[in-house]
Amino acid sequence: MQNLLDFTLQLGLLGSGDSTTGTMISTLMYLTFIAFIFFGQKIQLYTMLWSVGGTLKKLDFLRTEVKKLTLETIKEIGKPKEDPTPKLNSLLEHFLISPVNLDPAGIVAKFDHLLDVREDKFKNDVKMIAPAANKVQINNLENLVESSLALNTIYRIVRHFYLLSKKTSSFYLILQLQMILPLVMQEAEALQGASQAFAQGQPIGDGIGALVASKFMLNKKKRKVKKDVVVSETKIDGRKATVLKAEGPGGNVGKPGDAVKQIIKEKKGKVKLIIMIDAALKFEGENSGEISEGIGAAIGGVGTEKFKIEEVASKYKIPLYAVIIKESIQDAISPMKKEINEATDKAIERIKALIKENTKKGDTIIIAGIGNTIGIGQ
Amino acid sequence: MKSSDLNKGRTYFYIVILFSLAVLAYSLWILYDSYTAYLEGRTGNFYMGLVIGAIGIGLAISSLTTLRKRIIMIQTMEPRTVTVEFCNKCQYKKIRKFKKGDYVHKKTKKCPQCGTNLVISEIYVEAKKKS
Repeated sequence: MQNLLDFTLQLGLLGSGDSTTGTMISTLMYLTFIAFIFFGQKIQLYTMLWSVGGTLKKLDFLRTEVKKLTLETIKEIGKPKEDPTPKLNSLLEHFLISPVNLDPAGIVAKFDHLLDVREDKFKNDVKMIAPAANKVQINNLENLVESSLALNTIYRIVRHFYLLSKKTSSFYLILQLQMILPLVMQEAEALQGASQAFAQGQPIGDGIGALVASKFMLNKKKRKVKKDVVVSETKIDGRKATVLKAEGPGGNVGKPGDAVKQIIKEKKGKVKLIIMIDAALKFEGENSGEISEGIGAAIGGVGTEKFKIEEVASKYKIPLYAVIIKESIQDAISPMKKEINEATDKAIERIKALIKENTKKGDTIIIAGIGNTIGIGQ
Repeated sequence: MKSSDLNKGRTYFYIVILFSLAVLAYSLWILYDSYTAYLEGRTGNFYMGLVIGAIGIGLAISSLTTLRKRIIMIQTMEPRTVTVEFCNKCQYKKIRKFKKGDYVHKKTKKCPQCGTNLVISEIYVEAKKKS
């Protein structure tokens, strides 16, 4: 130790050592300073590339883990005779080309058609690689493959920009990528959580709307309406309520837009109120599970279902109310948290209050629980 | 998580702890050494030892605190999915670990109190409580 200290002193760091060594160190420091002035951005570029490269490795690990889980679940549930890996690999590269929007008139129907085709193709492919799976399991597996696909896509996009920045030595390209990477990683980690939920068939945060609707449907007669949606008739404070949600307990969002349209047609437009319940993104600082109410169609996705509901509600001049349960994007695709689950009863109270305030006894209303109904029956 | 992954993680934690403790011990020794240097009138060595020792202690403590924070975070984040079985007749409630195949509103076994079917009323994730 003494030698080390003496050596450090000799280097001249404290000003009492050999002057030649001290001058050398001072010159080295000046040179470093000058190098930083001229090559600072380059050094920063390589530091960023190194940091993004590390994150990319983590992303690769996440996507590999989820793919492994997907394969294991397919083999366990579906009992395929052949190796499902090549088919799964092809599904993970699957894409959808959006319809042309140069002339936007009629684009919703075109989009809707493409989404139907995509969903059918996905379901059929999953059925093919998991022949022993039942309907509920097919839906869960489809969701699992979707989350694996999403992670794979995120990885491919991040890798694309990383390699492009490396190739072009573009500081600004890698800077933008590094800036958004924490958010991308949050979503990727949430997708990994979601894949666990899909493999197990657990309810996810997004299913809160469906969960609320299912509470109204308990012990009531159910019937199936348009594509994967179930409907029950019930009475709430003397009002006739038609409650709908996607058919569970398999991972499914159904087509609530078509269902609402069909119900309104069946009732010949004599509906006094539509209430939609869905999970919605919270702002930072807000608590998960908080409830808000407002006006409009509370439904996410590309917008086709929202369009249908808005269209039919405006055609028959039916007031459209929304009750939302706040949660983060990570909460929405992760297994349902306790605080979100606890919001169910509060949301039911809000819905009942809305009905009381806005309708009279004997009126007909529609309650639509929106969201992925995985792990939620009816 | 697989047991091999858990073992890897554990080994990493032990290595970091051992390394941090070694740095801490060495830094304390440097501090002691600098104190002796001060008593002997070697002021240069005293200041040098003081600075190096303080930096070493700071780094070791920072590393150990970060590790502790991570352990606490992992423990709190480790999800525990529970299933709540409920009897609508006698209000009997049973909370158990989630099993594959459970879903909300699924009828399960008979209620031990009144014999009607228990229904799964809730499935949710709760963060593991801090011990």
